[in-house]
Amino acid sequence: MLTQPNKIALSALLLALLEPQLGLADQFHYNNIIMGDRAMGLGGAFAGAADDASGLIYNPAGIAFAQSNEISASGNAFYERKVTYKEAIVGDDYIEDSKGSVSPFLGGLVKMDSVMPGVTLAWGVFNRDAELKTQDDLIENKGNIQRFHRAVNVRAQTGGFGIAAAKRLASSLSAGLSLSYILLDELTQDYQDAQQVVTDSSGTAVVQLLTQNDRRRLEGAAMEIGLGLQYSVLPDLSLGLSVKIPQMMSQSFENGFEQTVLQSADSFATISSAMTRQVGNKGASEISNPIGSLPSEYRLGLAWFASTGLLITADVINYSAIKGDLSIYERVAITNYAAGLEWYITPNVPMRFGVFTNNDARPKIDESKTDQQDNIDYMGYSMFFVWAQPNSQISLGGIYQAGKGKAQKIGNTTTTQDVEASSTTLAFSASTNI
Amino acid sequence: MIKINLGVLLLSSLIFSGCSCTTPKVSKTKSLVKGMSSDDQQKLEEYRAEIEIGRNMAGRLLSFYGVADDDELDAYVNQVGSYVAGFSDHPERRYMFQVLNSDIVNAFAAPGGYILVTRGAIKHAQNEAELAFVLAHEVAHVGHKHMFDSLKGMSKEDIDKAVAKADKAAMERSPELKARARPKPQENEVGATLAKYMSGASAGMSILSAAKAGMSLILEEGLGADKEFEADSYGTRYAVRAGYHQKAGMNYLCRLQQKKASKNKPCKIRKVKKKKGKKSILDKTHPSVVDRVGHIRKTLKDMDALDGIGAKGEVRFRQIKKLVRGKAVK
Repeated sequence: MLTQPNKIALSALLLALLEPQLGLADQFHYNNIIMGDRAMGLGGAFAGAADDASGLIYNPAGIAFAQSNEISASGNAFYERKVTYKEAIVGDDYIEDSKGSVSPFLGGLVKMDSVMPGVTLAWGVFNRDAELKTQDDLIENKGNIQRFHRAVNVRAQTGGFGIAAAKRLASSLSAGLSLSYILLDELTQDYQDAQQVVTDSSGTAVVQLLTQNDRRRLEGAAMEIGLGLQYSVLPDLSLGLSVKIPQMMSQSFENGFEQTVLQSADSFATISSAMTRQVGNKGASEISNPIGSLPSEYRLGLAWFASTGLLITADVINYSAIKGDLSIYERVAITNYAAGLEWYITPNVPMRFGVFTNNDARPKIDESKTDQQDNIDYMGYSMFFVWAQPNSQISLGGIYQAGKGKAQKIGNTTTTQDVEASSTTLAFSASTNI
Repeated sequence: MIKINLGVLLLSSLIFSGCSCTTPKVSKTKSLVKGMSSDDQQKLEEYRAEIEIGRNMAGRLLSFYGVADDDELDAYVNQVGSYVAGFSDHPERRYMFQVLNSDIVNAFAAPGGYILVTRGAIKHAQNEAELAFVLAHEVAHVGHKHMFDSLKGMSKEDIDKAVAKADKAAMERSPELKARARPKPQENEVGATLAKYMSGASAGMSILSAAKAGMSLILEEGLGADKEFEADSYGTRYAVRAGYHQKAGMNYLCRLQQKKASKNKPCKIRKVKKKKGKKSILDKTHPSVVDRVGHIRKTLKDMDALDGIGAKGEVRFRQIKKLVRGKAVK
């Protein structure tokens, strides 16, 4: 089993290289992107309402309560994420950042009353997560390290498309079903070289140079079945329950890896001529079951339509653990919480606020062990201004997430760093009743 | 006041049908049938729009009242309805009959030939001739395009108002939907257009708007006294032509104002004071029973049929009434 594809472990003289997890896309947080026009503003707390096309995501039963046919689209204008590893490299902070743009959701909803009374259909194309990361770091003359250079490119996306159908079984009860095709695609290119001077047992200065080039491609496809119920306990108080069970149809992992270690017994000044090749390896591997599955999702939501101009929502979302043949992709079961508020300042200007957790699905760090993955839990806050028209809405706002956690960025040591992280998303969306 | 041009209405309806997926996509720009004249083509398109609007309205009524879900009952109503429609002025049209699961006494005619009658309306009838009158009345509405012509003649403002009224009425019928209603914002042309383009939706008057406006007419405002009298008059002619008892319609209407205790006594038409409080849909959308019966009597006189000997169809109807006994499930 391949656990750390490009881990460096020189027996006598360790190079203080960063762990290779830098080259992983963040598929371990489930709320990096919040999908849906209205849901985005409510921090993703939408299972109790879910009465627009994004019910496909949050609770298919909710679409049965849609007021009218609609088309909605939401696009992130821009997002930026920054993760700071405190005092990770010779007392200095190490910062990773990524940025990009993505369209979380485009969907539509059609009430089928004229053909099938009480039935509503919805469709959607969505991006659950997307990441574009270009990291290029150069550190020189820090302690023993003369030079450390790393260039990482990550392109990752988890998205898909699906359809949902729901029926009002009674005035206050609806049931829904969704079927989505999910595609997971992650490509990372990770190059690093490091050069350091150490003293060997005889007191002689030794210069070491290591280069690594690592390319990884993870691909997967799954069908996800969603089942939902929505029940109005009171006309203005709705409970929603949805379950999403994915079934992997295919998955693969390819890894190409090259490594060279050079070492000189001479001083750094003569390294170019005196360095001798000591270790070199090259390899490729393929794994057929890298992630095992995608997590199942269990969502319980509440929506209180307190008045025409006020909606309060809350969701609890549990995700199951998954485990495949690659431990770096292992995820534990987690629970996220979300709450949202929609308030019409005027009939033309509603505002939406949300607060939610975005917990890390990687295991918590045990400081007595080595080579563990980051664990960063986020709190997120959303705020959107909406310009409402009789049959359409335009929303503009932002989502801010702040995270704290632990990491072990240096290989083969129990040294643990504190991590602070933040992400900002500026998003717009629009929907039109048709 | 801006009158909606029928062509614009139909074209936008058809354009809309492509994106909403509720109606089949029909191209207006190309001839539908090779060699067809433009007048015929327009008539064909109008007929298609009529059917689309009617189907949508029928769906909404079925959704609201529910289906009686009794094949034998549906088959019977279709048999009587189709029979009497065969004696109408438009026997070439297609008529579809369905029983609604409601105990109120009413029947609805949606454009395109979709005719829905409640269990209550069947229960209220004492014989097949009375049911035939009810169905013939609705057949007359369809054949004379009462609803469709009313919608065609509405201005954009009227349609918008009717749509808003239908939405409001729909909300009031479902407290869960009413709770989810959001404040009605003021229209701003720039914002609405921007949102439509951003979300990829096309603008325009739609089948749905027309259907919603139709719902407002059918459930709230009615088609107007003239059209109801006309439907009574034609309906009576169709039923009598079909061989049903000439006074069945008058008797049916008369019993609407008769007290429960005297249901089995011969009904006498009398003027009644207007009821205070909440009116039934039938009262809201139709003229008074006295006036309607008066028009039917005049029709029969014109036909010289006041003393005819039509069939009542009581034996078969007795069996059918067993199917609608008890309360509607919904």
